[in-house]
Amino acid sequence: MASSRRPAGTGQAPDQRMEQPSLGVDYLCGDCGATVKLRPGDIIRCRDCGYRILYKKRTDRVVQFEAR
Amino acid sequence: MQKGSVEGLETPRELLDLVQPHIESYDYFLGEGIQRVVEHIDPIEVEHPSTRNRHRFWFENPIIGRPVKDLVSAGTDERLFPTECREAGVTYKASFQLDICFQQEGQGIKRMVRRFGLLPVMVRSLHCYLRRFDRKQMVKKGEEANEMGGYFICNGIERVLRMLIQQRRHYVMALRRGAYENRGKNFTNMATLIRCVRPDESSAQIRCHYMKDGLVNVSFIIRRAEFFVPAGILLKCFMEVTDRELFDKISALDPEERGRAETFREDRAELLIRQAAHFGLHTRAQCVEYLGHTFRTVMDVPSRRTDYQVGEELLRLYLFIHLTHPADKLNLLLFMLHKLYALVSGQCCEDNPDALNHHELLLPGHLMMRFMKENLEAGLASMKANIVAEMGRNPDAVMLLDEKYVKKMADKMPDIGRKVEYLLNTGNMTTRFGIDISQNTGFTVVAEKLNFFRYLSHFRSVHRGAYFAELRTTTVRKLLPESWGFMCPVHTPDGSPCGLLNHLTAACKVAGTGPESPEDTDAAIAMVLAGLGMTPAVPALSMPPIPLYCVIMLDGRILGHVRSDRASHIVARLRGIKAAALARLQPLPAGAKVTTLQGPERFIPAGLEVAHLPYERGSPYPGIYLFTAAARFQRPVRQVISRAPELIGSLEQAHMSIRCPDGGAGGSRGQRFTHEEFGTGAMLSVVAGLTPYSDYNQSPRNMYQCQMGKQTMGTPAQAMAHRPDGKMYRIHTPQTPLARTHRYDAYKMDEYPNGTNAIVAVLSYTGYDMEDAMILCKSAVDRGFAHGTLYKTDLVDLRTDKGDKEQVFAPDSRKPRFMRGREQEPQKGAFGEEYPQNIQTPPTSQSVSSRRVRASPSHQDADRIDIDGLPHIGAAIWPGQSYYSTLDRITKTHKGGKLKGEEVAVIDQVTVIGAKERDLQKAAIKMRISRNPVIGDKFSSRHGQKGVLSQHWPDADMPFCPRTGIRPDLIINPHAFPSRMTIGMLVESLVSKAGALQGKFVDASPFQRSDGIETDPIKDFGDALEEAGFARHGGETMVSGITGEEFAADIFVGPVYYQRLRHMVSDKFQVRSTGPVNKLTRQPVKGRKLGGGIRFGEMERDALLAHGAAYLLHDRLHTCSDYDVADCCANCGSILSPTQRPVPLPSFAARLNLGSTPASKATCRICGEGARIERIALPYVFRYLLAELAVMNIKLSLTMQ
Repeated sequence: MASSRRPAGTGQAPDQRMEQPSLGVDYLCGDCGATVKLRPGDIIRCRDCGYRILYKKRTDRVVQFEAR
Repeated sequence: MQKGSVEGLETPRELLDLVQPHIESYDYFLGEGIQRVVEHIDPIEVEHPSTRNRHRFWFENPIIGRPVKDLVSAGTDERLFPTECREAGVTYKASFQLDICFQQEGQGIKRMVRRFGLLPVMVRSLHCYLRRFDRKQMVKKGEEANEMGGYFICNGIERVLRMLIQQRRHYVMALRRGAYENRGKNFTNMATLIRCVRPDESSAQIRCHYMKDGLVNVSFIIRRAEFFVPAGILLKCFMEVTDRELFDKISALDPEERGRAETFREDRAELLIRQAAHFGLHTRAQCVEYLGHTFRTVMDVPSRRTDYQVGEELLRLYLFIHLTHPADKLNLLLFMLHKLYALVSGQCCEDNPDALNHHELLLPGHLMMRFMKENLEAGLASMKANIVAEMGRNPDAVMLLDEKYVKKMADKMPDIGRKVEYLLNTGNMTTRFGIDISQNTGFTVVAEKLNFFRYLSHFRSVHRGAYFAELRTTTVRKLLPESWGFMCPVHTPDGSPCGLLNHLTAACKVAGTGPESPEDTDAAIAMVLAGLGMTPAVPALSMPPIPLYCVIMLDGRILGHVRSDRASHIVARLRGIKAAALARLQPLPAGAKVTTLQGPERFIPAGLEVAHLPYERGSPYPGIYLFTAAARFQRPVRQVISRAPELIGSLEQAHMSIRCPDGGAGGSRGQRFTHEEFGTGAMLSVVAGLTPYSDYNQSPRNMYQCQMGKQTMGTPAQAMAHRPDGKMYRIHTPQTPLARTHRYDAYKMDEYPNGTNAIVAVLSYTGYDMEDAMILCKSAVDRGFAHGTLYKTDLVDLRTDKGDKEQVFAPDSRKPRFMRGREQEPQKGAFGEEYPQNIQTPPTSQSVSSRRVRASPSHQDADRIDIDGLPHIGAAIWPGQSYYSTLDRITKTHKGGKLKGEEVAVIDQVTVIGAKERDLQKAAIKMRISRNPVIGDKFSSRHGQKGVLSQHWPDADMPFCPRTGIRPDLIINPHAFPSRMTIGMLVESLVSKAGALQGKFVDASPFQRSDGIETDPIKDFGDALEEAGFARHGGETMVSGITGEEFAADIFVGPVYYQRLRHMVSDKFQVRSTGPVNKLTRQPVKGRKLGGGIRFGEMERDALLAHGAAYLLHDRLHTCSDYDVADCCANCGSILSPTQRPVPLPSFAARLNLGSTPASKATCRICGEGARIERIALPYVFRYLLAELAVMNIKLSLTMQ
């Protein structure tokens, strides 16, 4: 696991996202399954069916855990 | 054997039957029940002060709706489903409304609709959408495929109304109780009593107390207060009877010994009649008036009513409330007197109030009915109080015919839905008038979905009542033979609730409702009985003598009499009718035949209970007691001659001869059996019936298994994605057991498997398996044996009741994300495991492989928390890190939600829940915590053999079978067996081994031979083992993995189904070297959550003292506790007076010479500069004690040597 190792060239690229405007977060409707993109201040509701329970989509980041 | 999984679209009948008492009774409440409640509420009456008009108010037409969403956009589905309630943490409830009717005397009725809030709805009840759903539709809605219902959803939590044991209704019991003597002068310990229940399920108890002077006092309860009325007066109140008639009626029952006993009754009959005359009461009107006069103040009736009217009202509302006809009431009172006299003269014995034949159950629907009645009555009363109060203030403003005014008054009535919700949420019930239930807490429990065993046990459990839990005597906890077939003798917890919290047997049902139309049924039964030779009870006739004649009672009403020699004929016919009625509801088994029903017989319900108590001196009072009402225990048995099933109740069972397939006569030699059990399993509950070969085990071990089966990490649910339970355990490698009982298949246990087949070797090998420790093969664990996960869900709701806080989920924007922060060393968990890392990837990278994936160098919140303030799914959260962040929009401050505990959690699911407010304020965050077996985790076989994992033993060092190469997964110590005698576990091992070799599952049901299956598992499966080339007794030659030598003895090896219990060290370990201390005493705090210590108490101290382990003692009680150093003045002996005084700085030159000088010097404020000050070590509390004593002007001085 990469825990103890520190990457070589730190402090570069990742800052790109900061400049971009926030795009909102993708959710899935709990009823119809449609994707709902919510920005801050948006009403929490599926735009298609009006269902109010939304599941967050899995992150598109790389998730890596200890693997033995 | 068949498979234990469900096929087809229908929910299995077996599973639905488990929750039958809950659903059936609640359905009754929703339909007829609430109707009856409303009908039985008496109207209130007020008189307008200025117009003198009388107005009446009452309720009508209750309507309970179906659950709908409170926020619906047009064109969308407005139905509110249970899943949604669970996930959003809201209550599954439906509207409840009533018509409020009001009328001025002599004018027309006006009515208006009033809503009474939202009533929680039981899942799968009539008003639940899931009622008619098939398995496919269930899955589509995010439910379990086999959803059984029977519970309520309150704030997202599933709660069950507990079934409580109550006294059987409408059955006169004869009791002796010491407490009765304390009721007053002349009272004896003898009484007969009956619990009467109205159609609206409200109940009242009537008692006839025997007095020392031979008189009888009747007691009844008005608003929680007990009142006594002489029976002599009451006897004349119901009907116009002459003294002669009354004398005959009382003394009529002629016992077998003519001489002495006859005068006994006649004497007492005369006394009773004289009693009324003594008060100067001769006619019925006089008696009723007397009652009315006496009870006028207690009953709170309008003053314009006459005494006679009040008396009539008293008789109607409080005496024998299940009967309407006065003749019936008189007959019942006479019957109670007869039974009382029989008890006094020793003709009959007392009844046992702890035996199941005198019990029934308080079912959820019936509890709701009582609760609603109480609250609706209270609502009406409060409306009356409000109107009356306003009349006093401003009579002209009171316009009782004006709808607007009435609406204003009606709106002040409390929200009943809220009250029901409170009852369900807390289990507490506050009653004003008392509703004849002896407890007011503990009515609900959470239906924990820990595993399926535990879940279904909630619906099968029956509690004796909170009152009995405090009782010091243990008689109520006794297992009595009357419980046979209804209550499981095995499935009760050990410890404090033992014998009080029981479980229904698998086949036991509870009548949720009475017959559809009680009047028709009663009439039909009376007609059938008359046809069979019953003499109907007629007011003019006195009762015939008892041994010769036998009384017939239906639901607490005397129907008539029959000659005792005809009684068994009548009973037999009734049983035939019952069986035929049952055959119309369910298909008859092959070879069974039932009679054809004629005429009124067709209206007799299958659930009729026919208890025939034959006459015998000194045994229970004779009679034929029929019951059709709800809440009775029922179970099926087979009639011997017709081979047809019949439902029997607990009172009739005690007087029937039922053959049990264990073969014996059951202690009744020469008896002719009329019925037989369907199988030996009839006595066991579902959970107890799942223990394989439980008949080979010592009985307490089977009880332990019932407990441990319910604590097993298993498969709690199939719809895991839709379950936001606070905690859920799940194993990753569930298997179906090789050896299973037929119940396993019948109840489709493969849908929710609970354990793993482990290869178990019984040998003493490593020394790490002493005292029930067990060893797991490390490689087996690495391959996934008993791996598990804990799912934790945090429902974060930022809305407050006041709504004044503007909290929303938002990322902490002040800190630049992706900035390098303070670097942390890679942390390790409590068991030495490395924490996983979140990987930081630039969002622009298209493919991961193009860049080096690396762990985030820092631990910024932004690594885990998304731009909505909620965590990324899949992010790993270390203990103490925040996993969501909130923003207070008024103070503009950010806050993070920190992960508590010592374990790393991985975000599994994030659900956001929309509400009325626009903002993102409610979210459920589900986390996964890995719970793979570590040393100290608890495991058990299915035979009450629990053990703690003590080592992960390397595969290479495990013993192995040289012939097959098999290494066991698990080693247990042979000492686990001799004292516990769990032979069932050995048989399971042997049989599973043979089954595995044959590729078959094995039927391991208990009592197979009694059930007619000719099998001897040890012989049969021994043969199979031999055939496969193994030793017939399960032993195998094994080689030590460490020395490579063969063991001298053969080792018993075979597969045993092992359960992993939820008790894990990760939840329990408590370690501390230093940590938080109490501010005042500086001693370590207590509590695992706070990082505190474990108390080293007096007994521990004594042990160390006795050992002379002084250093250890000092270390524990001082060094590791509140070690403190204090200055003490050797002169005055005080530690409070020395102070540190700064030493004046010497000159620069002096400092150069002296080097460092102390900055301060201790001096005594009392003795001055010259005193000798010593530094001593002492407990900080001691200093505190001195300070406290000083406050009280007590000086304590230390002498130093």
